Amino acid sequence: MRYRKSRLDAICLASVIVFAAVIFLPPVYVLSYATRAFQAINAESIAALEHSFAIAFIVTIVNTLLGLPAAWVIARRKTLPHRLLIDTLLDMPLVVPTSVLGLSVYYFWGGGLGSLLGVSGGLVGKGPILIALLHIVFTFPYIVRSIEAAIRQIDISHEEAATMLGASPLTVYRTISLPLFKAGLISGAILVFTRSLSETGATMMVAGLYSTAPTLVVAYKKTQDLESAAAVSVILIVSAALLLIMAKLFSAKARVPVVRVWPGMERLLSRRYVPHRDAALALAVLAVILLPTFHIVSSGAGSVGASNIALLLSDREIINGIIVSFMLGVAVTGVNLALAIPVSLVISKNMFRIGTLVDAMNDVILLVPTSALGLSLSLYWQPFHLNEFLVLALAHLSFTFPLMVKPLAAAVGAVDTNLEDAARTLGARQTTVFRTVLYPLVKPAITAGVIMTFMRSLSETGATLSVSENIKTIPVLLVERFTAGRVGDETILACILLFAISFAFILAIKRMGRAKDVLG
Amino acid sequence: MYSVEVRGLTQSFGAHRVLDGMDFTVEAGQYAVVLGQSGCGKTTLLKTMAGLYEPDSGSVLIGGKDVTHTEARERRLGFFFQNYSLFPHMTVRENVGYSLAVAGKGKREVDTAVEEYLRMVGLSSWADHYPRELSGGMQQRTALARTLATGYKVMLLDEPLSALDAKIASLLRRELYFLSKRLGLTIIHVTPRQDEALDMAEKVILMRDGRVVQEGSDVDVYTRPEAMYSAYFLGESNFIRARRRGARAAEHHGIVFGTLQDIRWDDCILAVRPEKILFAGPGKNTLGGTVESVSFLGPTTRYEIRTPGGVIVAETSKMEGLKKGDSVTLRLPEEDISVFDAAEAEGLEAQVI
Repeated sequence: MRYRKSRLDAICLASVIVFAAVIFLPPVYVLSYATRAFQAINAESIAALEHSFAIAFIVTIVNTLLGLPAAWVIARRKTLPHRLLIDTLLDMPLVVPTSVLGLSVYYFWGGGLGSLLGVSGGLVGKGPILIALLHIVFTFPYIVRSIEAAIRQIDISHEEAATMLGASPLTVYRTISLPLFKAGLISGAILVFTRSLSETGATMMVAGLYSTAPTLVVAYKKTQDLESAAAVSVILIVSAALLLIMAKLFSAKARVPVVRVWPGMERLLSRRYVPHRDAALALAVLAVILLPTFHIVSSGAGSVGASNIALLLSDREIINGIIVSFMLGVAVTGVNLALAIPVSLVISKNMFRIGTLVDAMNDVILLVPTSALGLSLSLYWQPFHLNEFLVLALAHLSFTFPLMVKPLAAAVGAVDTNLEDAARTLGARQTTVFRTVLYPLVKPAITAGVIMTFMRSLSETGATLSVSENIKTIPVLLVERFTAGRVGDETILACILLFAISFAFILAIKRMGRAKDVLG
Repeated sequence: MYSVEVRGLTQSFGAHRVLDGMDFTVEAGQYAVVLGQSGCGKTTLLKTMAGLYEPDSGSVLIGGKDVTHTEARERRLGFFFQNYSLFPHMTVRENVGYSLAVAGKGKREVDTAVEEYLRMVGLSSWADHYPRELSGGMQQRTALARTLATGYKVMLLDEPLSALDAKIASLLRRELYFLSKRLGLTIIHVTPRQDEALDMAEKVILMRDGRVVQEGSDVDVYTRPEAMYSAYFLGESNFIRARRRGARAAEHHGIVFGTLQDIRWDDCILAVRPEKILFAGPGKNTLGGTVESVSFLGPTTRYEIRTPGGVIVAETSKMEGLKKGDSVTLRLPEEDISVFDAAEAEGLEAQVI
């Protein structure tokens, strides 16, 4: 017994060391350039940083306004028609590669919608507005899922109690529900903000000549201006971290004013606008999120044909890209799973008293914009002269690891330790306890983590662009072809293929366990 | 003061019918206890009365006015939630003042009222604490103060004492009862505990599977059970299977018992409360047995007597001085025997001998 326990300890400790050296340190290595970085800051960098923060801010505001009612409807409206379908559609932007989304959003706002409304040319051309519209699309599920999960945790009797005490629906929402799901709202908003701040590949597609901080990092990296690239990366990471800390402090302190604020007006509003509100919400979500997401499927459906399939199959570059992407996804998922199981034990059981620290390290990784992460990684591994595929794999290991370990640690932490103790008193050894008690209980989290890791690896562009030169994954290829103006029918077909794969995966997630477990 | 009437209230969740035509009346200012096992639909009854659930059919009248289609917040019914449902993000003061705040009352008015109700429940010095910092009993008082602060005259209480330990519960039972009398409230209190019903109720409404089994004063329901379920669920009874041997006679194991009640069924069940059974010499309505166990309960002593049909329980405050193995003769007074159709025993876990 003692022997087995110490062996488990050794495995966990070794995993944490590997995690720290291979997963955590490389993404933050760029911070060691901090002192040098300040000399390399130029007007261009500052402008790009300003753009990124402004866009992230606007995207967060819009998605909060849109996400609050949408999450409420999903969580609470049991009679919503086609509830499951809507629920699935809302998750699509989460799993469809952002480069495919970039293409779809560009064609929707830049062409499809215009021709639908009879406007020649597009409604919105490349530039900051299109970037914001794109970011609104792919960050929307983050805030909806995050708020929805928090709403589901509210004991509904609190709201019933408020109703019985005479509060109108809007007053109940503001004074009872909102304060109780506030934490979910804030963490969702943080996810939206940081994701918007760090998105690279799709942003490059729709930016035109406009640059954001992550696209500038890629551009600097291409011209070997590593100092400038590091400068932007450092500022991006540090300011995002500061913002996160501020948000956490704010969420602990902030109190919604509860007593006596316009109950009369709220009573009036509760009554009048309900039907209009629901219709407006549905319309807004459809126009801003769903139609842009699915545009490429609906408009590109015509390009599905025998001749184009033959064209796609003979396009070695695309076929290679798909093969590389899948190989990378499988390898990264396997390695991460092996490492995530012991590390999640360390986090959830606070082993060696470093559980909280390891958990926070994972938050930091999530925070690092992927293009900065890619840069940091190439700087970290440069002295080792590693093979390009290996560096690419290491980059993917880093940014997907938190997606695997966080839901797993949460699930392990939620298992009643009495169950494990009970198994032990019944004579089970440590490994048997894991296999027969813990594993079956956390299986949904493992499945969800595996799917999220694989999909993220399959669709990532920012870090991949920063570390790879010769190896091209399929999303990177899409970005390159699009920015070079080489989008043919076979490329559209490849997009639809990726879309279909994403859809299959989202269905798998729905079957295994909900996506919110992954986000939570 | 307002009376409360519930007429034919029916409520289903999917295929499951939770309320199956509930009918009862509570007079203005009365303290009524709805008694029933867990799962019999008590909470659904209160929530449907409150307007939190829309009933399938039937109506609810408050003070003679039909409120079935009135919104919950406009029915002016105080609701006490089983788990208290204190708002975790608000202090005791904010919880208690909530109804006044949302009614648009001024800060001073709210503060004065909160002080008054907190004094009433003895929590004045805890006003600025959060619910999680209070003991179970204090949370219960806070929830009570919050419900009372509405100023509503009809209160629906969902197992208000169930989360408390026995000693505190019995203490708060008295307080709750006298407070309701002082404020002139009409109370509908639901509970699965018969001691609460006997202690507090001016009217007992016995509920089973979404229907009213019997309603009446606690004494009525206890002494004159109209259904075997009443004799079974409220207090304790001996149930004796018997066959009809005349308009007011039934036979059990060769002994014929006379009753005051007319017997309408060939197979019937006689019910007698343990404290009504007398130790007496041979005569009418008697049967012999041997003492199987003796438990001294303080005010009374409880005997289990083995008779030819099975074990009968008798409880007496007199010291009979009986020991295990003694032979005794028990008398079942005819005025204390209730008679039911034997079919009523189906689905009950009652011991029938």
